[in-house]
Amino acid sequence: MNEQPESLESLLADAPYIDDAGFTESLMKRLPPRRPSLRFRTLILLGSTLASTCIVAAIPGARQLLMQAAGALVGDAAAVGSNLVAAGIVLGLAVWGALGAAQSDF
Amino acid sequence: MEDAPLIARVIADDDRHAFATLVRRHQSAVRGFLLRLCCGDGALADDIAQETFLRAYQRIGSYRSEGGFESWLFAIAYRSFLSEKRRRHWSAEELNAEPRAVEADDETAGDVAADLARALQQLREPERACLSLCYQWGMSHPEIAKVLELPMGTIKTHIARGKQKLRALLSSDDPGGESEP
Repeated sequence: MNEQPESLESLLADAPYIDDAGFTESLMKRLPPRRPSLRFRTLILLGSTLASTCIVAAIPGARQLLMQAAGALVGDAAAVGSNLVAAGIVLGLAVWGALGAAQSDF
Repeated sequence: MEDAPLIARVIADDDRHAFATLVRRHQSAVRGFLLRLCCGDGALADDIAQETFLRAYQRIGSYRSEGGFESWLFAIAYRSFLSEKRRRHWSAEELNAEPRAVEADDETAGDVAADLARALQQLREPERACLSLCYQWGMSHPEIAKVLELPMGTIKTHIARGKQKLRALLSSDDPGGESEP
């Protein structure tokens, strides 16, 4: 066979359309289960933040709690007692919110 | 509708219809590119194309629009092809030298297309990829460099060498005796 060099590019440029023929349909069946929507994830984040804020606000002397918790961190654990449990809940909610944010596509 | 709003809908709401539209729009290009890389093995090209779109779906949040969605898909397709090649322990000889039934062997495809397909099989895989992206898909050298993650100089070399080899192969006598005097 003899090929004209100048026609090589046009030969290479030939890109016939490939019919879908069920390709998209079979791919869609293989997609992973739906992930929570961005709206849902945002709700989780906002909800957890709001809830943690409410808990802190509902505890009498929230500022004192924070001070005591800080004190506990430096060794005065006996002084804070059960308030540390509340602080743990607040921390847990904050972590939950952070995880919700981390899984989002922001 | 253009690609960008569809991509935004997939990211924001996991909109499957939007993703299906994107797949339908780009499947021919991705499968055509992979068909060239796979030396005309349609089943293998389609397997890798499915993997490509699955990966694209999983990573669509990281898509940045600078290079265009199709270029982004080509980059994923090429990486998927390379990992499949590694997984199957293909050697260059195995992929290139064993002539597979070329997809273009239906009635509509002429001898020239079949000759070209056979000649392309003799090229190295980066040369095939570069020629396909450059001429089949009209991409510029910087775009190809981005897709294949190779330096620009290497892209130019692959294209020049690939064309040189193709010209030599196409102008030489066909081993099957189909050459014209």
